[in-house]
Amino acid sequence: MAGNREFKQRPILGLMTQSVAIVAALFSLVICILLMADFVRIQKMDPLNDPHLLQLREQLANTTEGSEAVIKQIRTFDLYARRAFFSNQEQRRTGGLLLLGGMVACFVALKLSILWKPKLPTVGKSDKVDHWELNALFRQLMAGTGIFLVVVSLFLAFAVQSDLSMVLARGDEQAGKPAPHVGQTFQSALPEEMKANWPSLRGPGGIGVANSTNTPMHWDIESGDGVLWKTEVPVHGFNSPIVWGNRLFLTGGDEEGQEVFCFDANTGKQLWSKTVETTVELPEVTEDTGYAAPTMATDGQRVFAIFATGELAAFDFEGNPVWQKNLGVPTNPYGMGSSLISDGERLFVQYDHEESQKVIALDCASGNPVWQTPRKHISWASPSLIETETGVQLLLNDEENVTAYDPRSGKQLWTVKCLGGEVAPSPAYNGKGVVFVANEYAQASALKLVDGTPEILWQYDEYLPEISSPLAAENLFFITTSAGDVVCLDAATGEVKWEQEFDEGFSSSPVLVGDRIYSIDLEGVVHIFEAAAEYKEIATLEMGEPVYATPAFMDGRIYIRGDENLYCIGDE
Amino acid sequence: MRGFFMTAKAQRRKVFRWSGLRVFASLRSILLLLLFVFPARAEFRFPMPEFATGYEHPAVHTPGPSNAMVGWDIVVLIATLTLAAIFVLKRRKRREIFLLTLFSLIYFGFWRNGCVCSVGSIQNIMAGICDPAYGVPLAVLVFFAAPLLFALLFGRVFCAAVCPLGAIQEAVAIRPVKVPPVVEKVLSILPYIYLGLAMLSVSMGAGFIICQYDPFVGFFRMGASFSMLIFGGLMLVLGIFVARPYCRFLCPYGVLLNWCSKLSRHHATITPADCIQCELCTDSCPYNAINEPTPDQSPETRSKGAWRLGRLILLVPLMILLGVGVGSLLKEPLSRMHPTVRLAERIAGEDLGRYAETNIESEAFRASDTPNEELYAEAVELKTGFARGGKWLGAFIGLVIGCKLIAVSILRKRTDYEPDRGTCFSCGRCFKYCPVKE
Repeated sequence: MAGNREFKQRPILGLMTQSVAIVAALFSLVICILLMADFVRIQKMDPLNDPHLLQLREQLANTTEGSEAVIKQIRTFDLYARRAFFSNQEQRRTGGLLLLGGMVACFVALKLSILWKPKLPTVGKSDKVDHWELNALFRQLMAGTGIFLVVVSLFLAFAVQSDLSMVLARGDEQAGKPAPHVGQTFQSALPEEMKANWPSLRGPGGIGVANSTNTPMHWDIESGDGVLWKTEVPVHGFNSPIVWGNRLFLTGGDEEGQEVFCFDANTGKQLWSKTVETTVELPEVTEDTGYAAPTMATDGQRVFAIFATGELAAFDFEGNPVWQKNLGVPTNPYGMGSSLISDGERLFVQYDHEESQKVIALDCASGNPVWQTPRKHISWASPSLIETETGVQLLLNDEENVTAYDPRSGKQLWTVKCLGGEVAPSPAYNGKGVVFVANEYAQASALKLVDGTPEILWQYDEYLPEISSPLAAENLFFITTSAGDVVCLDAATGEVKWEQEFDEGFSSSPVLVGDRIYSIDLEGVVHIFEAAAEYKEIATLEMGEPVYATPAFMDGRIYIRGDENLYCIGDE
Repeated sequence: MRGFFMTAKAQRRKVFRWSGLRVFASLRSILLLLLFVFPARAEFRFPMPEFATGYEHPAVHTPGPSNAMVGWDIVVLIATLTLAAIFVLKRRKRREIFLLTLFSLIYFGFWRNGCVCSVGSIQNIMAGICDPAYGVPLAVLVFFAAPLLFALLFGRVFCAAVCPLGAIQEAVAIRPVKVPPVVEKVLSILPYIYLGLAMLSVSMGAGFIICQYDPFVGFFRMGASFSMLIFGGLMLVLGIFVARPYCRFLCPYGVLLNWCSKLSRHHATITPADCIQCELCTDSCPYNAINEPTPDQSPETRSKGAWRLGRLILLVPLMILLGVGVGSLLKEPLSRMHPTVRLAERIAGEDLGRYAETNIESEAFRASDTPNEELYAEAVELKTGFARGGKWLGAFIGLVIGCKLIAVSILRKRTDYEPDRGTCFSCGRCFKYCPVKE
């Protein structure tokens, strides 16, 4: 090995390369620190939630005039943010290259320094390890490693808990428990506040039963006698009014746009209107459905509106937007018809269309999905919330089945195949455990809920509804048809109690107010009759214009949306 | 661990005395590195702009991989493997091997961005085995098989001068110190665990974790998540003192190369002729890959050693069973490797009110049409698969520990200083230390 060039010492060259290595290392360190500082700075940046941008967005949401200027400001802000981002990207790329260059220089210099100042081999090491000792130690350490792996594995096995298992166990628990106990986990009843107002189509729970009983039975539109106020409907729509406290809400829509309106329920004065913008192409709808057929819903703090475009928007009672989302443009032959309903916490959307069918529950406050359950058939009917002895159930009609869901989890509770054709009428409920469904080209069915699950009591197939939803009183069941027939059946047996024929058909659904039923035909004739086993007319009154919507009943007043005007019938 | 060092017998303390603190610092660095791996996050990106005018973003097109260079890659791979074998076995020049290493670093690493990579190719092969519909490209097959074939013939010449991951570590190994051999042997269990986890991940469709956690590909491509760059940077800094830390303590492909190299027909030797027992080479290998001659005198009788070996052989099935038992308990942590399970757990956690806010994944899921039940059902099915896979993984690790214990308990007579055929990277550092030149 003597004279071996491999170990030749070149101290000056070695020292020089060492110096170069130190300089390169320092340079790399500086670049590295700068890059890390830049990274920390970028982590703190949140251009989308910049206060200035948020302020501009809020300004845009609240202004109708001069919004172009705000939009321009937002675009400028966005452009600057993006420009800053891409400039920073370029700087980081350059920094990365400089760092790489510095490190390469450092390592090359270090390698050369080792080459020119090689470490000489040594012999006769004093700390030479005994071969047998080493093997024995290895066996012990390997056994220790095995034990360590077992301990770590056990720790991980018990430390990592599964939320999914808890959710699934909860679901199984709900499904496995007998009905009376299910009520402990199910929602037991709708909030009292909801019952005291008219928060959705056909009132609380969407079953057509009013809590108010002192509603007028006589008025005169022409003379204004008994009419508290009358105001023009700003934009056409087939949806019905909803009322909460002293606020009345409805929507209108056409090819020009979709709007939400709020009126003072005491005076009829329009308090605000909001346009619900959409970015999607307008779907094709039929004339008798239009762009604003679904009725709004409220949870008492916010109002919710959905349109034919699938645009779903929430506003507070002052008209401030809370959230908005597009659920996807509904694809069906007529247009979006299903109305919204809320249980105070969740907003339920029946979204049964040709391409996909589902029922969605959204958190009222945030609009975030709470659950979503797939369905199988198309429908134009609206959901109902009924209070059964096992808790609240969400009922949905489609072209084959009536199905109940748990409003909290979306879990299907039961389904009965008893419908057919294109279903628009919604379910009815008599509050005594009997659900009624009916549709033209199928039949009417009464389903007795025993421990939360249904049994068919009877079926009837003569006079059936096409659009108007049926109505259940405690012991009677009523159907109003598009041909102008009104039928009363015994709730327990299905026996026909009476049939009455009117000149015009019904689109508006009948409402039970105490012991009376209010039903308005397409020509705007209000038929008031007793909810009794024998037909007894109380009054027949004319609104003077067609009525398609179902009226709202609250605090002794009736709110009727005519084709052109909105009426409040009642005393001061 | 530190406590163990403090209380070990004086004789054993001698093993650690000369570099115990340094090794402890190295282990601490490895732990720190692992801490950086797990919270690896997505790269920072600017969100897509929103338009209220109805403008729709054009669909994002990801160009397909270019196959133009693949043929060249195969040619270069075979050529470099051949050259490496010649440099290691015939020329025996460390400098030539190192220059070839630099070429591989530039070509396979920086020029070809570290892909196709033999280390990652085992995942493609596993995916092809698990899913018959998954087509393994020819180039990947060659990158997987050629280094193994060369290892069978000539030892780990792929590690010596062709692998870009090994090359970048070789380039920064400035002042390598020797890790105590016993620690080296114990840590050699880690690549087996990583290999097992990677195979489980692939077989369950959870992704190619070897590629996801490749510490150096970020340098080759000049871009990666911050945490991965930090991980890679720390690995390189560690590599200055502990040569090739990834190759020795993590590389899952190294496990296969180790097996093949043990059976190699020809292997690099320290001396080109007979060993003269000068002991000059003993300090030359930073990888503890030089086996010293076994002492003539054994401190124990032959029957005692045989008895211990017999007990260890009997212990192996028990260790496998223990591994199966422990592995069966790891369903939950292992299943978190799969993004679908992670998402399902997140959604379930949000539904339980465990999180104050949604995250981007759960928001995207909730905005989709997929019902929760569908996601949950898929996650449950995956977890069942991970429960099965956990048993296999446990059995594999139990078997490896058992085999390692047996391997060290078999008496092998060595009279010369020889490279360990399994762990030797054929780097050629020892060549110049041998005074025997012909």
